[in-house]
Amino acid sequence: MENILEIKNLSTYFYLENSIVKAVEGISFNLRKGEVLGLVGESGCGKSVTAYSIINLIDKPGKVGKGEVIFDKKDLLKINQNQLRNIRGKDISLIFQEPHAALNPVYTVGFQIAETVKAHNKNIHKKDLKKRVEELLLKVGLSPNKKNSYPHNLSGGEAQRVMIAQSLSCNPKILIADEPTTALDVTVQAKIIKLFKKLQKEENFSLIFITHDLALCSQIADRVAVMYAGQLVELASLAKIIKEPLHPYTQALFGSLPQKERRKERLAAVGGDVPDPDRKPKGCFFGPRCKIKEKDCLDKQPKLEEVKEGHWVRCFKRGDRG
Amino acid sequence: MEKILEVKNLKKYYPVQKGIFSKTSDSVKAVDGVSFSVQSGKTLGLVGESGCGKSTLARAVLRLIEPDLGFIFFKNKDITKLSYKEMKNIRRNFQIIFQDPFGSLDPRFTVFAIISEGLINFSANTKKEVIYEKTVKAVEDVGLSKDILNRYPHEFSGGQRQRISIARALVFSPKLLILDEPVSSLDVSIQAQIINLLINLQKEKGLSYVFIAHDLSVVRHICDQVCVMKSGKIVERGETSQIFANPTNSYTQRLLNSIPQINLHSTS
Repeated sequence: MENILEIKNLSTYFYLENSIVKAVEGISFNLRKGEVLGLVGESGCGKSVTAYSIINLIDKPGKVGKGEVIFDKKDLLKINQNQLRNIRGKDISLIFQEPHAALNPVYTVGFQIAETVKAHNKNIHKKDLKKRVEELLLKVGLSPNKKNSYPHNLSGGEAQRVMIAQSLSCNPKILIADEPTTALDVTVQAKIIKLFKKLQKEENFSLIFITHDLALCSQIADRVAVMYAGQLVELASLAKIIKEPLHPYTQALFGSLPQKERRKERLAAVGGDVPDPDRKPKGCFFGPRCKIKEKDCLDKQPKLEEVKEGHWVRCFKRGDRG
Repeated sequence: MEKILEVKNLKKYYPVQKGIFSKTSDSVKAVDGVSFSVQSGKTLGLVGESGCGKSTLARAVLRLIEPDLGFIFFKNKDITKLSYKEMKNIRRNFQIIFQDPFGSLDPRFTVFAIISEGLINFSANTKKEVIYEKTVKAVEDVGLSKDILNRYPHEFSGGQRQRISIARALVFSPKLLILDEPVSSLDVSIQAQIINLLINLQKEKGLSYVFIAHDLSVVRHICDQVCVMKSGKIVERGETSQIFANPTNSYTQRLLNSIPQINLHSTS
């Protein structure tokens, strides 16, 4: 399948007064046309920073360092702000986690949706604009009358639908959804996931779905990328990740999920904590918590390698076996 | 089996005031006639979406919020009408653990001060050595080392803080713990550690839990009985296995259908 976005060795560091926080360290993956890529990891592993780095939304003291983000034959990290602005919101758009924090409380939602449309179609007629806004609201399952509501009139689920309408307003080729359902209740979450699936079929955009919830990811993703401490540790199709996760961290994540058949039993938890971003271990980042580690793991950094077709793992022990 | 806690027809309404004279025009029925009981040594799950009254119920049961109506029996003793003093004596038997371990620990207290504060409060004449011993015991029970006692909450991660909260509750050797979303602010791998800890503590000490959560897969894992709450009322109750296998209430069904499951069939 054709790649629509190629990310090569992306690194984003935050330069603090007395330390450098390496939030994202050398991430590489491709996004294929029309696929849903789930980006999974625990808090602080660099999922969101990766998403923001793709469209260079990192503010000081952070900086996207080396690396390339190739979209439409252009490197998004090299082009200037004006060109970038034409791509943001149009070709690549982003949905944030907290819909109420992302919407402006003093404008109606209709105005905010129209704003994006106008920004990319300068000469659009007023009537067309109004039609487009209503059409977008309908598409995300809201009544067109909602365009006159203010964000505080909306429930969390409705606000998230407005965010989705806004991000879809210019028919993006790539949609990046950063934990779009984390702030919502499960029943609402289920509806939003259903909406994402429907829209993805209709609009055929590529979706990067960021979440910390593996089970949720398995509902929507075609491929899954697992992140740990700023690195990609495993990347494979959903079926492969579920059936035979190769990285010990991915295995541990699955072990941590309560299962139907094993009530009241101990969960296979990983000991220890995620390393501090400015005090990462010397060797494999997961090394100190790993159950199958060897001496080498604590000294040297494993590389992300393709062990089987389409199955990438960053681990010495697994790499040798595969 | 012995009932450790029984709640009958508990109600807590909050008035909605309007106009310049703050006339009470309506009320929010946060908890609206709830009855349940917890068996000794078992775990009761309280499930529901945000705003359904779970946390108000938890606090009302401990009389941290005064309920408007209803009865609370602790070991068959009615505690609803007890005076502040009488209540204080009985409080050591039940403890609450809050959701947010960042908000519930005083940042200016050392871990030792946090955990021992209650001990000093409840028994002013206890010797210092005894307090120290009990504190160390509580800290070790939750899987932390006693070296942390002189450190401050900000030095710990979310999981460790939640362990400190649990230690603070355990220091009285309570009979009943009310856990108000104890793992929902934690990452999955840390969440698993805390769940294991809770299961172990229950086995070792015979604790009873009221486990409040919105994450149904965690509830299924840890609870013996489940009550499903909606808008201040319990809409369904029963044994965990039965509720998850055959939910009868339409809301419960909808809730259960919404849990994301790892589904292999959809991928092939």
